[in-house]
Amino acid sequence: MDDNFKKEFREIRNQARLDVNAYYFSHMEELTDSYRESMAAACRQVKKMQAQGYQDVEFMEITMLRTRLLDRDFRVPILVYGPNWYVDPMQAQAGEIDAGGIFSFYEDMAEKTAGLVKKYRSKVPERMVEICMCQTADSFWNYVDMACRRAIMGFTPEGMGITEQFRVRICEYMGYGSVCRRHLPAMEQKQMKKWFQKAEAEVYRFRDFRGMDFSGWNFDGLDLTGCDFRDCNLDGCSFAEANLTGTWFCGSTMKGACFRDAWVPGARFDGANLEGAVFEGTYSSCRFNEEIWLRPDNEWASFAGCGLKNADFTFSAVECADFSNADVEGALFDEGHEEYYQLDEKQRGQAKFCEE
Amino acid sequence: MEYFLLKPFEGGCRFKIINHDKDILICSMMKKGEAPDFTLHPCPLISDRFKELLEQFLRDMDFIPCILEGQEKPDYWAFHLKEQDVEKARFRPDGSVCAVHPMGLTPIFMVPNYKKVSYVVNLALAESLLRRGYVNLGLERIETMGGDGDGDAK
Repeated sequence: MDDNFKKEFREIRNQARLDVNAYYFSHMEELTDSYRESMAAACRQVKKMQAQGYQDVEFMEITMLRTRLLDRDFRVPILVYGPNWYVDPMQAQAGEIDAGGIFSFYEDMAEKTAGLVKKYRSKVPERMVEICMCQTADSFWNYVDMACRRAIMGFTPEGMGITEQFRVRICEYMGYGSVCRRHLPAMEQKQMKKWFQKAEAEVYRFRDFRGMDFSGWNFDGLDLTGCDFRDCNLDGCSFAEANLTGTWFCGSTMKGACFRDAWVPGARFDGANLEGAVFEGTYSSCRFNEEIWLRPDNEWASFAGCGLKNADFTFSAVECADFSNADVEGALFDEGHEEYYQLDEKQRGQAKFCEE
Repeated sequence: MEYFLLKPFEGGCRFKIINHDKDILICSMMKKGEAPDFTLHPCPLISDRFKELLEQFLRDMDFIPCILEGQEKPDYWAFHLKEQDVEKARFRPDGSVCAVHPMGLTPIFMVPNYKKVSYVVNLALAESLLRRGYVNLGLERIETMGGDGDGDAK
C-alpha cells in the first residue's frame, strides 16, 4: 500500500481516536444512563415475548455488527438466546442501543478516509474505505463496551424469565467478546460464605451482590472484577490482593475494610464509609501515553464523597484516583502522595502525610 | 437471523476458463486488477481466503480448484451450494432475491429462479468476512421471511 496514504490515514484515524476518547470521558454518565435504559427496554420486550411463549433467556448479547457499521447504521442490537446460544433458531433481537454518539467519530473518519482514497485512487485498492472501516471498528467499539460495563451496574433482568446460567455479554456476533454480568443463584448466607471460601478462579466475577450483609467476610485474593457491591455491609471485610477491576462499592459501609495490595482500576467507592480502611499497597493504572490518552478499558478509581477518616493509603498508587468531596480527616498518606493524589486544600489540611 | 445477498466484486481482474476438466479449472487472466473475493465470471468463484473461512463453517463442503495459468496452487475455488426453494423466496424484477425464508444454520446457499441465481449468506458468515477485512465482494441486506429455520445445519 502507498506509504503516503498510510501516513495520512494514520493521522485521520488517530485524531478520530483522540476525539472519541475525549467525547467518551466527558459524556460517560449520560451514555451509561441511556444504555441502561435500552437494556431495561430490551428486558421489557423479552417479557412481552415470553408472554407469547418465548423461552427463558440464557444469553443476552450487546452485539457489534460490522454489516451495520458499513451501512452507517450505529444502532447496536441486543440479542437474546436460549441455552443453545448461536445454534438457537429462536435467537431474536430484543432491543437496541443507540451508539451514534460514539460512532459519529467513526463516520467522520470514514468520510475523511473516502476523500483520501479519492486522492490516492491510483495507488490504493477500490474498497479501501471499507477495509479501513472494518479494521478500525474495534477502537470505537471499545467505548461502547465500556459504557455497557457501567450501564450493567444496576441492571436487573426484571420480570424476564432467565435460566440459572444467565449472563450478559458484549461481543461480536459469533466472535470475540466478554461477559459483563452473570446471574447470582439464590443462596443462603452460610452457603454463600462457603461458596466464597472455595476461592475458585473466575467464578465470582460480574455478579450482583447489592444490598447484602458480608460484614467480617474474607475475600482475599479473589477475582471480583465487575461485581456490584453497592449498599452492602462490608465492615471489617478483607479484600487483600483481590482483583477489583471495575468493582463498585458505592454507598456501602466498609469500616475497617482491608484492601492491601488490591488491584483497583475503575473501582468505585463513591459515598462509601471507609473509616479506618487500609489501602496500603493498593494500586491501579489507567493512563497510557502520559496525560493525553485515558485507556478506554481502564477507568480511574473513585473515592468521591467517601468517608475516609483515618484510612491508610501508605504505599498505595491508585493512578488518577478521584477524591472529590471525600472526608480524609486523619487519613494517612505518604509524603510523595501530596503530588501524586489530587487533594484539595481542605483535604490537604485534614490528611496526614508521613515521611517514607 | 439476518441474510445478505452476496454480490460479485465489480472491477478487478478478469479470467477465462481454458480447459474442459470438471475436477480442476484452469484459467487465464484477461485483465489485471484486484483479486475478487467473490466473482461470477467466468463462473461463480470464491477466493482462497474466503474458501478457508467457509471450511470453518462447512467442514464437508466440496470445492473445485481453479488455477491461474502459470501458478502452482489454486487462487480461486468453484463450489456447490444448497438451494433454497424458489417458493421460499421473493424476487425483484431483475430476478435477484430480496427476501428469503431462513435456511437453518446454513451459512451460504443459492436461490435460483428462471432469470438468475442469487447467492445468499447469513449474518454469521457476513460478519466473519468483514471481521477479516474480506471486502472484495458486496453484501446487501435482504428481508427474512417469517418462520423458523429447518435446523438442517445443526
